[in-house]
Amino acid sequence: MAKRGMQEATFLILTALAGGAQHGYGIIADIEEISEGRVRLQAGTLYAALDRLRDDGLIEVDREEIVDSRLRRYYRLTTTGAAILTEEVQRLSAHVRTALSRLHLREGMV
Amino acid sequence: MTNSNATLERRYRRLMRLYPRSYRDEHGEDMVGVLMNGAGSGKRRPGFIETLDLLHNALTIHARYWWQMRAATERNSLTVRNARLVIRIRLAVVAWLTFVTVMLCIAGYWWIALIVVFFIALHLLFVRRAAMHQWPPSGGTATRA
Repeated sequence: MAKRGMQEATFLILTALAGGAQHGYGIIADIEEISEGRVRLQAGTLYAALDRLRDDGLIEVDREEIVDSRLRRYYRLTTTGAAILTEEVQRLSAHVRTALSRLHLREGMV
Repeated sequence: MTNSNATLERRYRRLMRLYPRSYRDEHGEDMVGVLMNGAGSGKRRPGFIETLDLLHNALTIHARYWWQMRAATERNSLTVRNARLVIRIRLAVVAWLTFVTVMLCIAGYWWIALIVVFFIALHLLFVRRAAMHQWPPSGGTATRA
């Protein structure tokens, strides 16, 4: 997965969970904050992604709670998930470094 | 719970019926919670984009479950998929050669056509053999080749 680059939603979900276990709505709110309001995941998209990530072993269920007579399932990052997120972060950082250095070079040329 | 809340929740639950039952049993309550959490007060019906998103993801999950079920029934799904790809390529080659043969016959080069037909026959033999080799007899998909 990491070789081809991760989808932004996947990246943001893993990033949200890197800070600790969260429930569905917590993830949506956190992603909105991380992306400075730019990304607001729809519930259907979030759950499809969570289901897929769980199947791939990147996340797992942390615990379940009942809040206001509603079920809240908390998810957490697995070791594999953390490793894949780290790999993706390194890949993106390398791209950012290259882009920055080329932009500096370009500014120098003008 | 206010009246509009109850109406909204009922509508969300109705939308959840789009999902496969096993998925709904697992995530349904949790998802309704998230949907209700995300809804501002006074909202009476699910948003248009929200509805489209649920519909789209429900279909995706149906497709994924169907695919997983199919893969599970095949003994060695990867081998079967590879074999299927090889056979598809070979069939494409055969189709192409057939086309060339017909064109050659039309043009009058029947002796070249004869050689091509010989290669097609050889190829078909290999396809048959590959099918017999790769497919487990219990797979039930061999008939599709």
